[in-house]
Amino acid sequence: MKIKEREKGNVVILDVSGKIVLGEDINSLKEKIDELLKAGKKNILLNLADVPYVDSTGLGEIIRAYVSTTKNGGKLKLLKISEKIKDLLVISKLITTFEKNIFEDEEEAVNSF
Amino acid sequence: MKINFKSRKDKCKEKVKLLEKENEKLKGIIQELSILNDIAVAISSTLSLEKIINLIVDKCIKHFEVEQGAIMLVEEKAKMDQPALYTMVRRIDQTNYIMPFRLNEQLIGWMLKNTKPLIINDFSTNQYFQNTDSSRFVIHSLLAVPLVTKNKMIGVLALFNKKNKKGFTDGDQRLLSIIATESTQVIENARLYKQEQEFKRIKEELRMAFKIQRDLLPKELPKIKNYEISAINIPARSVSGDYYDFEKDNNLVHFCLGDVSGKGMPAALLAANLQATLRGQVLLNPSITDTLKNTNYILYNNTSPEKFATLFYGVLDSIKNELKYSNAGHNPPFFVQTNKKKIKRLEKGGMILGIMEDSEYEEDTVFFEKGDIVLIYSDGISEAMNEKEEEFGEENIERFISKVTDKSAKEIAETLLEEVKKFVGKTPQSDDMTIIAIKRIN
Repeated sequence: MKIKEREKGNVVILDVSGKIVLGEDINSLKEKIDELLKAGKKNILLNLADVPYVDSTGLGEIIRAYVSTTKNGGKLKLLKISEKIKDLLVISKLITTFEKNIFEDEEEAVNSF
Repeated sequence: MKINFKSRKDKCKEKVKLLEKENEKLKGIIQELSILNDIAVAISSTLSLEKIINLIVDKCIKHFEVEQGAIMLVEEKAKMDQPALYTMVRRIDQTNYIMPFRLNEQLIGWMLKNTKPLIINDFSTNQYFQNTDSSRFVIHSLLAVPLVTKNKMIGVLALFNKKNKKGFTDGDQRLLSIIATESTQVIENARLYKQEQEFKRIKEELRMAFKIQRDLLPKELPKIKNYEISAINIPARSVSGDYYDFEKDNNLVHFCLGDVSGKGMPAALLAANLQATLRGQVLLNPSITDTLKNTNYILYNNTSPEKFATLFYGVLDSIKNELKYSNAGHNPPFFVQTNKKKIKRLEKGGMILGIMEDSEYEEDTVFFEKGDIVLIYSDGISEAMNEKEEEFGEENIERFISKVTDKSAKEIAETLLEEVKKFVGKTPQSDDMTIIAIKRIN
């Protein structure tokens, strides 16, 4: 998993690429988000367009990211999630929590913060 | 004649001098050989890393007549991209003095870069090493040689402060290099042995954890009239983050399949916590939905937010032939109505456990007719992957279950596992696999 950071207005966009599965770099998403929150950057958009695969541990990482952002008074939204991630959100019944925070269009996502 | 006599006397004197010199040389060689022999004998008598290092340093301090000797072993740190790859793990002092920290760091740094012997008899003229530390121990001379095995430097053998004023000689360096060569493999072996012992201990702990966890699973599955029950749990590692549980209460069977986020030991600990929490709730006998609501609340408050679990919890009534259930974010089980040729997914419930403090749960009831089957599985089954990185998938499970409705619950669980194993081929199992099959037979 690789994470590239860029900013648009007051939103930090994290372009994640590669699989999010159990492995050595599984903590890097949480670390990145903690770093942003510490720096007072609280509007975070997770672009998952280049994430071909997420397993349930990977879903756990996205949840971790969501929980710690929300707990720190921030907002985390998702951009371009795959069918597989959508399925996982449906199964875990998290979809109701994320529903309004999932976007297909970057512009629209950034403006929603 | 006198002159001749004198010259003969001189010649004799010269010969004696020569012999004395040879004798000295031989004595030196014998001493060298004896220290080499001493070290060889001593270090072959033990496997303890500490003892071996102590022995080598002690012998060197005595033979070379120095104030202090040390063996420093380098250790690779976990993160490979860090510049300071090594730390000192062992040092032995003859006296109470402590080597100045900066010099120690400098020495290891220099050795890692140059990997060759180093003599310093005068620090004032040396540009690399500055003995600036203000500690009480003043170093005026130093001899250090690297310990190298298989092109890898594993440490440094260093002597400090030669007791005579002349300092270290080339001969000292040559001998210490021989000692280093002789010692390196032994030290490395002892270190590997120590690591292996540590590894064995951890393995033993894991084995015990595995046994404790196995003991937490029901020793035997409940037997109830008109129903067959079968369950399988195969951990991906030594211990599992999946678990199942059964509790019989007259005509009722409470059962569940839980899957805790992550794998291995952390997941196993949380699974044991979940099991205890749920069992506590079931004892209090609230409704199914309250059981999940309370379990979620307890789990949320007892674990860090990123830890969560999916859980399918059901109560089968063998008189009413009904299954009441609530599903907390678990892969929806298949309910196969064999005679009606229908397959239903058991989805009703609520969010995964441990994420939100106040999650609410719903329940649903399904009715069993003869031949009906409920198949519950963890994502280790549906997400099992083959070499092409394809998932076994829910479609395959559905296709499978509709073909085996005539089989017993035990056969269904076992053949599903076989199908999954066939599908993944040689790809190693990456997640815990759990299956529960329940079938009404009469």
